Amino acid sequence: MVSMRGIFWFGAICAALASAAHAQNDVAGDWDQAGGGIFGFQEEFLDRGGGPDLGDYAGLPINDALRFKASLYSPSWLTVPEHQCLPHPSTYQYRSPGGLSIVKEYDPVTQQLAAYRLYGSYGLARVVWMDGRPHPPANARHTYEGFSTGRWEGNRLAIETTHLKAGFLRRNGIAHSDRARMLEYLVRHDDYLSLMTAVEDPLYLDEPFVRSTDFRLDVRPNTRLAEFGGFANGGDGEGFGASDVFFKCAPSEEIAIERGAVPSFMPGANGDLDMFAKRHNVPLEAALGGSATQYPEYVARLSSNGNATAIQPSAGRSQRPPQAAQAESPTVTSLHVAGQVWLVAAAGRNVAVQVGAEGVLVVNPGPEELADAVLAEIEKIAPGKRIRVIVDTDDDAAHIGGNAKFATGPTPMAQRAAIIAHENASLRIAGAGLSDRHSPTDAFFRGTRELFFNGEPIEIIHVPAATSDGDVLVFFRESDVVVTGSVIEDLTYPVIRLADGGTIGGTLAALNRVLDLTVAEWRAQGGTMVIPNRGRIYDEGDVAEYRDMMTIVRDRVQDAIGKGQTLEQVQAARLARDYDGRYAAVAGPATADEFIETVYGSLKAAANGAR
Amino acid sequence: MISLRWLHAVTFGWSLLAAVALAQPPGPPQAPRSPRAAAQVDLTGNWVAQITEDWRWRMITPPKGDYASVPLNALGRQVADAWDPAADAAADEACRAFGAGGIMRLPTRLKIAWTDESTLRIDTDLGSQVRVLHFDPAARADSGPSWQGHSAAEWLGVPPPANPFGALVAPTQEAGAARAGRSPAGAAGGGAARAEPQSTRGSLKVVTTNLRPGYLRKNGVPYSERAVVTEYYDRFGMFGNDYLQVVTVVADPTYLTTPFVVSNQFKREPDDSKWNPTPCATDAPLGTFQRPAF
Repeated sequence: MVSMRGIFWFGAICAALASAAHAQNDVAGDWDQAGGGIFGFQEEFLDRGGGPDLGDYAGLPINDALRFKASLYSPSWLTVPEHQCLPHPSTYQYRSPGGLSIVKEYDPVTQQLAAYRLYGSYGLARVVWMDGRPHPPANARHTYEGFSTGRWEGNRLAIETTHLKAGFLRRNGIAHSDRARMLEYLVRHDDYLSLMTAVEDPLYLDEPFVRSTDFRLDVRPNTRLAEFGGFANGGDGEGFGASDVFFKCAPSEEIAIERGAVPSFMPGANGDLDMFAKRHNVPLEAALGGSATQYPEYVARLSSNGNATAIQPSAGRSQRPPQAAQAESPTVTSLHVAGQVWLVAAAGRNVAVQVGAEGVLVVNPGPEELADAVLAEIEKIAPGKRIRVIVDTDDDAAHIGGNAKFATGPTPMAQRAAIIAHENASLRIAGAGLSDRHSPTDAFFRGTRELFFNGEPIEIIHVPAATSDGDVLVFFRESDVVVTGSVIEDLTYPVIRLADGGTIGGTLAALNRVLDLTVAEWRAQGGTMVIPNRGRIYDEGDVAEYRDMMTIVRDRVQDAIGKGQTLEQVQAARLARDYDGRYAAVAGPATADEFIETVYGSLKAAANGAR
Repeated sequence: MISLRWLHAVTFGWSLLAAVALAQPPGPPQAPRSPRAAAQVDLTGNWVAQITEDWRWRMITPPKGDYASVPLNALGRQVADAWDPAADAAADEACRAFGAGGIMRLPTRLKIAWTDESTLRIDTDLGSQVRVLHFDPAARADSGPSWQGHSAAEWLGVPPPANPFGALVAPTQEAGAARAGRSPAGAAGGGAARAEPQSTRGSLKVVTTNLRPGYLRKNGVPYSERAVVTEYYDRFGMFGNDYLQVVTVVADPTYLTTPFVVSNQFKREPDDSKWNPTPCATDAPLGTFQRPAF
């Protein structure tokens, strides 16, 4: 007689056989490098191991802007404190030593596959959501791993990644911007796993950069991360990457580097740009890459005598006019940032809102014409709560336009909200011909104004001579959020108003002050959140990227001034062409030429003893 | 409360359903579909290599002795160090770098087309090579070792269903067509990229034997006549482009310590206007190899 236990086991075996028929396709498991072990690279050996030569861009579909950027890259850039713990971004991570572990995660309630978790070397865990969730809004924060969603297409797992931070594609200055997107396919063939990757970057690549990485199934139990870390499962804790400190990472001061310095070569001064070309007897023009160098036709342009037809700057995307600032959406939306702080995006302007038991604090109410819409959005976030405090980070009309309407109480007799600003901004607002109700009620002179509101300490920090003489940062210490006002624009170069006391040096000092306030949670990202004047949410890694841009451009212009170049010559040299696509506005004071003129003028004034 | 007996019964029931779902579908006997009709992925068309990796080993002939990352054994290194391109040319061995173990690594174009219902042909313009992929397991090599050897092909990739029992509830259009004996759309023919779902659901596996000794790299990094070349072909649609990926695994007990695994990308081209057939050739290397510190 067949027992129930027997039926149970029969059923279990049938179920196991049924699932085994499909198991071959699954990508979950532990995977070694294709050649075995953590250094078993059989492609791009130098690139993935010891590191590529400077000037090795052959076969990469880079445009002129990225070629310029990479050619001025100095490996000393990694000594900057904010860069010491940079993780490998997901666009590069699986090229590095170590293997790849892929784990399935199920929703505990529905029992449906919710995500794959990918653990590669260098400690950057990554989630590929499989539950159909949408990608976050454009102004959500970016990370080095990006935001990934996946779906099965036949026998392969397709992954789409957005919200990437700027990161490197090769460890010699070849980078992608934070506008990059990545598509990947993971497909298992027998005991091999293949990862096909395409990175698309409208700023730096003329066509998607495609490459693939191969892995071999590792059936040993519990050896993947242990082998790399060196501790668990019998490891001796010695050797490469041995210890959790390797994964956690904390920057240290190993060499003397001036605070705020960002090492890079000046144009024409990189004497090692031909390192790869010389070492491998490859024509320099070929070594410096471009879309053409990846196709068979290019072979005919190579010859054993070291000559190659010079690559013409790509005529397509790389020479398009600078990117316009993102279209300013007429809609008003809100996004939670951290703690008690929200971001209300209004026509491209960021309004920061702190909500708590005492009421609402608003940083930069925004343009006057959008005041009603912003107030309506705040009412959604903080229903029934009154706005008690307003902080103006400067006197920009696009910041203070809503002051009057925001500060009005519920009745004519009700107490108005306090409006706080630095004295210099306050004076300029008072002289702008606006109604009294726009003017700050609470100006301060000293460096910092302190406030305790909604149960958290708030610092309003004057940053002298930044984009004007009246800029302040607002630091919510409990929520751990910094609001930068005009110091960081995200969508464009900063608008430094020299006539109102702004300077390039002061703006850089303000950016470094922001970096002093921020603390990264994990590998140069997370932790303190930063709300720029416009655009998306930042963290320390993003602020460092913006600071780097400003510092590098400042240094290049200073170098040109030192060589006696006129403003016209500097503008013609397009010294910021590697950043123009990302930050140059098509009109107004943040165009490429206007920005260079501002930097040039500020440096000249400083050299002449003016502020 | 759910009893254990009830749980056993449910388990048994579902298990039976699973077994049924994965068994041959019921119905009248049907003639087996041809490999062409049963294609899991449509590879036909014109493709061009995109050399974004190992550029210095693929676009140019690297110096003698530059075999980094190839798992050569001592004998393999000895042979590689003795490479003499002039001797190859003189001995009518100029096609050594164009054999099945290395051809997909080179900057070439491919034309892929069916020659009959069970044979897929790949032409390369570089070296003017022809590869013949036999889906018929009865096909045998009809001559001695050759540059392209004998290639046995099979489709891989039954897609894992999101719901293992979903086929019983709502058969997909493709599965329904298969059960009705019809060819899934896009399984044959070539040319323009097709909609992804029906043309890229699986992979092609090719195992090649009966090879003449050849090179993994143009600078004489060897594989022997005992080499077995296993390849996996996939198509991926990304950012509006249609890509072919070929993963090549070369196992050679003579010269390699472990299999040599590389993957190569090709991009679809709309036509063969850039097709440029050239004969095999041995090229002098560029420069002298400088062994890296790492």
